[in-house]
Amino acid sequence: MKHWTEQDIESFRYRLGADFIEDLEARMKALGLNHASLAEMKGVSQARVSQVFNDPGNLTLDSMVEWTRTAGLKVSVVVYDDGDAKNELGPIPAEIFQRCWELCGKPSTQWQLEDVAAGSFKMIAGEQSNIFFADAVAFAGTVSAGVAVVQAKYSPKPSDEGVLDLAA
Amino acid sequence: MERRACWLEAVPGHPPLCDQRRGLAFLVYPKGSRVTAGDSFDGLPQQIKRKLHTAMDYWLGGFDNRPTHHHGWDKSQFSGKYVMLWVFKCRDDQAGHRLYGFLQNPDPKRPRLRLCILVEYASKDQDETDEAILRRVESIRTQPLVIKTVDDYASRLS
Repeated sequence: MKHWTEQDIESFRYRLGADFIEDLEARMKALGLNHASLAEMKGVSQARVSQVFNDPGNLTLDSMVEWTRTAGLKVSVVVYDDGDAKNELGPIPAEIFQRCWELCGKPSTQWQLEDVAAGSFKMIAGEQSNIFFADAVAFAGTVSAGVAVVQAKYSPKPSDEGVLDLAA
Repeated sequence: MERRACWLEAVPGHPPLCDQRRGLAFLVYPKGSRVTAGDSFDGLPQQIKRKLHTAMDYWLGGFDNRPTHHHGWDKSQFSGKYVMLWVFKCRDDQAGHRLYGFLQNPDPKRPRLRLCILVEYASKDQDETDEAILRRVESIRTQPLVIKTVDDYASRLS
């Protein structure tokens, strides 16, 4: 049986939009933002924010970038191959990619990614992270896509003292 | 041909069992006039269906902390009478839409397995839970015929 997002492109787009809003709201909450503050930052009414957030099927790439940048966040589009070419299982939620990236210490360069693979990644606390960790296998074939909101700045804990050794 | 009083149908557009842990099905119970989940879901506008499908995806995927999409009732609510019930929810401009059901683990050897059997649809405006709906779903959940139907269905799932 095919997943409901295989029914038409609007359905798949709706799920991506819903994941995006889910992620954005979680990131906003972590930053102490709500619909009212986001509306003020963007110069629109709170009703407009609610309208957009309640209708994720109408989001465009432009509007995703606008909303994330307004909140001081970033967004990445991830192409991946999950071995489900017929789409029987549906899209992988953006939160999965987001959390994998965080678990890997938020690598932001190819070298950091190689260090993660080698198990010796050291992350500089407070460093900017601005790319998304995508499955390298995805270069071989593109059957699905996900959108993830990325909290761009790592906030170090006071005890981090500059360097976090993830291999320890 | 055997005539069954009630049976389960997998929710179209979702795998019957996700990651060997969670599955969703509609209860079909022709004599149960309030068992409306399947038929009502079929008749909903596409946009509402997408919202409810998304909520189901999140539950099937183990994203439990998304109360705007789905939630249960814990021991502190309604004296703990409805801890096995679950609801999937969304709203549009006019109203909220709810699919109420119950959880069942039909296989003690697989303690993580949860089936959510959807029973009743409701359209409502207020946020507060209508206990009458919960009472009805709970009474259906505990019927021996329904329990056996869920067990039989589960035994056919891999």
